[in-house]
Amino acid sequence: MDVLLLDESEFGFGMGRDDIQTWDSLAVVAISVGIDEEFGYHFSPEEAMGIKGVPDIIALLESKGISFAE
Amino acid sequence: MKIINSSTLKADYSDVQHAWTSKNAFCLVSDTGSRISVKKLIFAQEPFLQSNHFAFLTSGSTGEPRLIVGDKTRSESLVKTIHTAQSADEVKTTICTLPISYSYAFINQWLWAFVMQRNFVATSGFSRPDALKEVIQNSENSMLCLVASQLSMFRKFFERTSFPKVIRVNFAGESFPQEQMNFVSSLFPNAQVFNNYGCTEAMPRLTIRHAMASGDSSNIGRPLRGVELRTDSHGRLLFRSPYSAVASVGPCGVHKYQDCDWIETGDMGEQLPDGSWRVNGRSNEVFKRFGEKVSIAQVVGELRFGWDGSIVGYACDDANGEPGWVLVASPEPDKAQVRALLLALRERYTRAHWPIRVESMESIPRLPNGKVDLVGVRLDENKKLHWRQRI
Repeated sequence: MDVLLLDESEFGFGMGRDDIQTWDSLAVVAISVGIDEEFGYHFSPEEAMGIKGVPDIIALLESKGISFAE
Repeated sequence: MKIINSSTLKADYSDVQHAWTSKNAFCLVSDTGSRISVKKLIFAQEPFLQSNHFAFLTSGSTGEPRLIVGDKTRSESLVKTIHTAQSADEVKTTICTLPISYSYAFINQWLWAFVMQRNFVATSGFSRPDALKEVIQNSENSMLCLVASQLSMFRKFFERTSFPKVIRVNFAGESFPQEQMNFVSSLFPNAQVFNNYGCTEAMPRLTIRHAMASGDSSNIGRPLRGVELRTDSHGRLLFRSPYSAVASVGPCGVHKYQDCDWIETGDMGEQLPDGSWRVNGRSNEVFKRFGEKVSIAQVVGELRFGWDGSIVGYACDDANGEPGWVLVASPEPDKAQVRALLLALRERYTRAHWPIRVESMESIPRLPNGKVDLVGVRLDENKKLHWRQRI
């Protein structure tokens, strides 16, 4: 939400890239940096470019053994 | 050259009048420190400073002292031009709330009063608010020359007061407070309000705009009679003026201006389809970020409409060396207010225009002439971080 400047009421865990106007190419970089800072995992460029929405981020983190719920 | 310290002037300003009408050149400074800077600057340049010259010491927010040298005849012509442009015939008194060593206060007020034979009333500004209130309330058909930051003091001390005897109010020196025009109208219900644009090198006026002629705070109106404006290929705003300074004196020596010279205002600008001009920020505060042209002044100007306190921005590269800027709000915003600022940014601008950080200070430092001290803002180590871009 912080990276995409979304209000709490606007955010949903099922949201896709197309649902969020501020999810532009720079946002991809910002999300990657944010994930690195918050969860200690650095997306590869391919991973970052493959993200199509919030569910992809959660799935990717979980596949690396990072529980998003925590 | 005679150096006149504005803080030790005689009550009737007769020493200023004597300096203006005497053969010697003179320089107005605001304190003893500036006096030393002036002495250093004029030491080797004395032969150039002729009898019809006068000078101001300017350092803006750069900290580099320079003398801007004016010509008395040219400046007297300017005040007559301003007088006509503002239809100021009915003004009887001008009330000064700024240091007279500031070119705006000196030319638009003291010199105007001297040339047009009106009353000049010096005040201690908001260091003595009661005295200021009394003067403004009691002076018939008066004119004020303000900087936008003084409106917060009017709000603090005179929130529910109105001054019906004020008939002209000028703003200059920093961004025009278009977003506060309702408050200005309640303070001065009978005043015509003007945005005056210029710079010390212009000595100091270039354009004028009536407050109601545009809703855009960056619109500076049209050039005064005789003044020409243009932009160069980089969008920098340049001027030629029959009233401009004749030279600047810096540590590297004297730079004389010729009448045919185009002089930089230090701002970026553009001419609008209706012929008026718009300023897009200081030259060093307009830059390309990720390929998009970003103007700090433009973004900050729009955000001011939704924020009761002060908002300023200063240029700052991000961690990758890409040009960016930092937004500083005062007083400290709560979480909801930060959110509102960020949402306002999101609504109006793409990410490249967003600040790299949002910070706050208890109060925004000001220079003696009321302008924001951006160096002070930048260097203050007690700023509080509220948000940052993760880039």
